[in-house]
Amino acid sequence: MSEATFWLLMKGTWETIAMTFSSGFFSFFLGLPLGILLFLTRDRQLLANRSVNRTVAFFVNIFRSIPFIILIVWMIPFTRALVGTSIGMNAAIVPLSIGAAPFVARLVENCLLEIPYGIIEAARSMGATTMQIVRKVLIPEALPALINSASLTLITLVGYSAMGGAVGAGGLGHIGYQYGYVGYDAFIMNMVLILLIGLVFGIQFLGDRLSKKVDHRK
Amino acid sequence: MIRLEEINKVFYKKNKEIQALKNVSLKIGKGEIFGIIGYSGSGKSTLVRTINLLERPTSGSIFLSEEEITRYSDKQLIPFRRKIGMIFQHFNLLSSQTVFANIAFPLTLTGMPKAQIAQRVNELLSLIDLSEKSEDYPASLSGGQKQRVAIARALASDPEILLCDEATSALDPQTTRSILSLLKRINRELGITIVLITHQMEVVRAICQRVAVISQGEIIETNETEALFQHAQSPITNELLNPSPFID
Repeated sequence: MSEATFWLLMKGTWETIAMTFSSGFFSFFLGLPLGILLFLTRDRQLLANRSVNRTVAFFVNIFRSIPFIILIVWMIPFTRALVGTSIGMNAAIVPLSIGAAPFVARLVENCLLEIPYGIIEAARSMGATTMQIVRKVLIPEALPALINSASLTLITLVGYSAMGGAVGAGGLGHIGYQYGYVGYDAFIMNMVLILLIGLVFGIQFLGDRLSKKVDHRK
Repeated sequence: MIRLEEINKVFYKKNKEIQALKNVSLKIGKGEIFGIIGYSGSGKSTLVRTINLLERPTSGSIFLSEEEITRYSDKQLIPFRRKIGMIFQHFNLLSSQTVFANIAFPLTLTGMPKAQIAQRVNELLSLIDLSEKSEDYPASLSGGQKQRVAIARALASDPEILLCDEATSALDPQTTRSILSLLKRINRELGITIVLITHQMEVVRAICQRVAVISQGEIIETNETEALFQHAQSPITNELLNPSPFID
């Protein structure tokens, strides 16, 4: 491997990691409150409200049904307004975050549904406010499941970011497409694959370890 | 201490109306251990949840020390809820927190200073005789130990009333006895009024001074425990007293 190739792959790996983790962060920033809202407004929950629940669920479902590659293109005007460009890593983070946020919202809702209702009822009986229940009961009790959801989201984002590579997002996806598909360099293509696989395995491994560490249920 | 007047509760399930409580009126005195007994589905769980308004009655009033709490919003209710501890059949401890943090939980809600919380929790840990389990997680405790932690948590904010929702139903007879004697001790030493709902006659007999029998959402009989055992008025009470385990 030439030095140039090595640095090309290093740069691509770094870009993919940066894109994955920063859009992972922003998708939780958006998706976590949305997921909590979806949970709290369900029937018989603390803020039960059918119309709010249905409205949020409606938008979540719409964004989940747009194929990611189309979402990137569709969002170009918005992306340009927000970060000033529609090409490169910073530009890719915008559709990646928006694309993953509704997915995160559903994952979070499911994590919260696993908490036995009695625990929430006990907190209410002790005079906890809804905000205290969210901060001191729901999030800590769902933490192991939330960490698993974060690993799942990050792994999905590795794949999404590679797709974004096709439209100038940079990262390993871009290299794989440019050198592998367009230039037909089998070595670079295989290296890209190996690096992506390594990245996914690494995220899963760390996620599992962290989740187990905060799980005190057995 | 606790007065329920003409409580009705109606649920809607798939547009079908279910009347869980019908014209329930009760008076429970200060320092009393009061039992409510009935079969599952009789409305006893709903009834105990109306006392701290976890379930709001459809109509009727609830008075705590002559204050009508049914008039208050959920936000205004918070100080009243803090004066009413509650324990449950399945304990409902936080699995992510240690024994210490579980007992401290109601105190952290009020923003009590840490040193003061630690002192109170340690007192409670010695009351329930689990000081050595302070840093353990609930998953490593036995059922009886979990219920003792739940009792300590319920007592943390110095309540005047303790509600027990089938608190011994998931425990074996020996553990049930030790939990009941702890409840009795709490009642005697701290003067806390206890309302206990159960389907187990022996629980009522062991600690309740008075008891109400509930069936299909109605109180069908209220009496001193001994009097109820000697001359039950209704067939349902008789059945609860002499359960027949035979199957045709």
